[in-house]
Amino acid sequence: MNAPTTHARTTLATLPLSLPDPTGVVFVDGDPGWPAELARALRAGAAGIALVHPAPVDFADLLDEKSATIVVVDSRWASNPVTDLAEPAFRAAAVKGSRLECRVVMDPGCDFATALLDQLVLIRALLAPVTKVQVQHLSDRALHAEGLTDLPLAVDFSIVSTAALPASASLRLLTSDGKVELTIPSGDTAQPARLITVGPDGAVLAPTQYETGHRASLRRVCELQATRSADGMADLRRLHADVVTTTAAIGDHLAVQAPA
Amino acid sequence: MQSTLGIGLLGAGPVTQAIHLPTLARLSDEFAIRHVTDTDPAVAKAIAARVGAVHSTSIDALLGDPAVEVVVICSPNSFHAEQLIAACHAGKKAVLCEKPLAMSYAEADAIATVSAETGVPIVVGAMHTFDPGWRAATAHWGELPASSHTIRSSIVLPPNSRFEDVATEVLSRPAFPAPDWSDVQVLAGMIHAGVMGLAIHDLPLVRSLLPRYDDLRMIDARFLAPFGYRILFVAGGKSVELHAVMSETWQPDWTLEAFSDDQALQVQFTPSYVHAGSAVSTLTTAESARVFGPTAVNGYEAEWRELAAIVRGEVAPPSTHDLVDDVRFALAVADASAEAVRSTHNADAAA
Repeated sequence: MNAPTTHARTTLATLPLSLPDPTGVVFVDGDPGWPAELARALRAGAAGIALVHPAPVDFADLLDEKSATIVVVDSRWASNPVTDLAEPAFRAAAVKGSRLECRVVMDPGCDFATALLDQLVLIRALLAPVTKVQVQHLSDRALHAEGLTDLPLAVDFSIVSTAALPASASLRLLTSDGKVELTIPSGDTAQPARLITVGPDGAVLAPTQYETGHRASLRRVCELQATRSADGMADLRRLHADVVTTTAAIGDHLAVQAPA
Repeated sequence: MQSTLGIGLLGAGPVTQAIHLPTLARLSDEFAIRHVTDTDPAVAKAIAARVGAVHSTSIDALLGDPAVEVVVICSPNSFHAEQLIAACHAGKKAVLCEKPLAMSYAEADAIATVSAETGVPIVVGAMHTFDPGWRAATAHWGELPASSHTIRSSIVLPPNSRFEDVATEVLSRPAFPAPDWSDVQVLAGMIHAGVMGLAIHDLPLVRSLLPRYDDLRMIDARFLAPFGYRILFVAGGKSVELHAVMSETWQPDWTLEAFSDDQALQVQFTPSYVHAGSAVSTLTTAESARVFGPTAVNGYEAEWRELAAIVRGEVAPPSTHDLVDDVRFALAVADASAEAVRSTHNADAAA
């Protein structure tokens, strides 16, 4: 079992009553070797696992594990507590043929595949799974891609790397008479997301929630544990589908770009 | 005490009525409208009467009017180059031509030639290039033109009439056509028009961040009904995204962004037609954010004030070479976008 990271310790400290025994939850860092680490935690009988910011690597074997452990994917953007408010807002605004803009700012040197996966997880949480992604442009500083969902709804993805701005994700769904716009700051702080719905009657800013994405994820672990009948592997199965879409998109693009 | 400059307006449609007349009313110490020309005699007469000017239906009458010292070209895009060239040959003190300067490379070449021959200063009414919020950012952006790697222009606008109707009371407004969206040539034409009519506002700004555009590679372009576009291309090693949507929203959002590894620029422009002050620009680094604007002067007013200073010889006129290069860049983007729309349509049809 890995030693608790700083964010694991600080997150656990925010839920002292829900988690009086912090050893009951294991934080697995999402670096590329995470499947092995997660498998170890599952086999050790962890009651709950928070998989933090997972990289898109193959982990199909893990889905066959028979375990009662609750595994929650602590995704960079989707874990923000704003998703509970944002989901109905985006679902109400989306119509057939809508285009969703999903823009992410990341630090230079970030892994674009992981950043794209984080976007897919977010859109799944708010609207629908992205079933296909075509990378249109990929450089060492930016990625542009187009995705499709079954709604049907098209998604324009962009990832821009810069150290000038803190990491953030922005979604905008323009409607015939307004928009829904969501900006999510880095989940490492409790800086709140901003959800704004614009319609004919004006603009509404949803209540801000000063809770980190890490804490919201850990709270989900507790809530799912409390239900006892929860499917503890559901998050992982959804993550797997998004990983497959992500790796196919990046792989297809690199194959086209590669010299013959 | 200086005398005012006599203005002649070629074309008296909504742009003249909602933009130039209200702006010139603010600058009555500098300018006086002397002559209004429009192909519709009733419109020419009515608009001229508003400002106490004479009216006509022919360019020759306007160019032959000695009271006209500065010609303003607000006619449909396809007439800009021809009228600009005629105004230069008429020996006027300056020409303000609404964007776009030209609609073809041949026209752009002809304008460069006439400018060199006559020396008449040419100003393009690309108000964002004059906007004090933008100008202040460019004065402080350091290495951003060289170091930026990603550029994005996004324009979300309500219908023009919403702003025209509070800038003035418009007489004679052209109807928006009802295009056949199933016709790929119509779609290609619409995205071309979108670039030359809407994206054109920011393309000179985008070009100022590009080291070159002769290597422009279009990645994707699509027309967004009822009017808009999403265009993605690479030029000079930088990715550029142009996005626009016109809808029934009440909330305009006109933003230009540029990113480098260590600096980010965001410029938020006020909508066209209304005098809502300048853009607000924010230059951000990891350590700080510097904000420029808003000022009370918007791009229209700054554009006219600069024109007055050019005629008086107080500032140098813009380089016609740069203005022609701006329109060449716009044409390159527009042509490549239209071609991408046709190619995508043909590929989809074949699939």
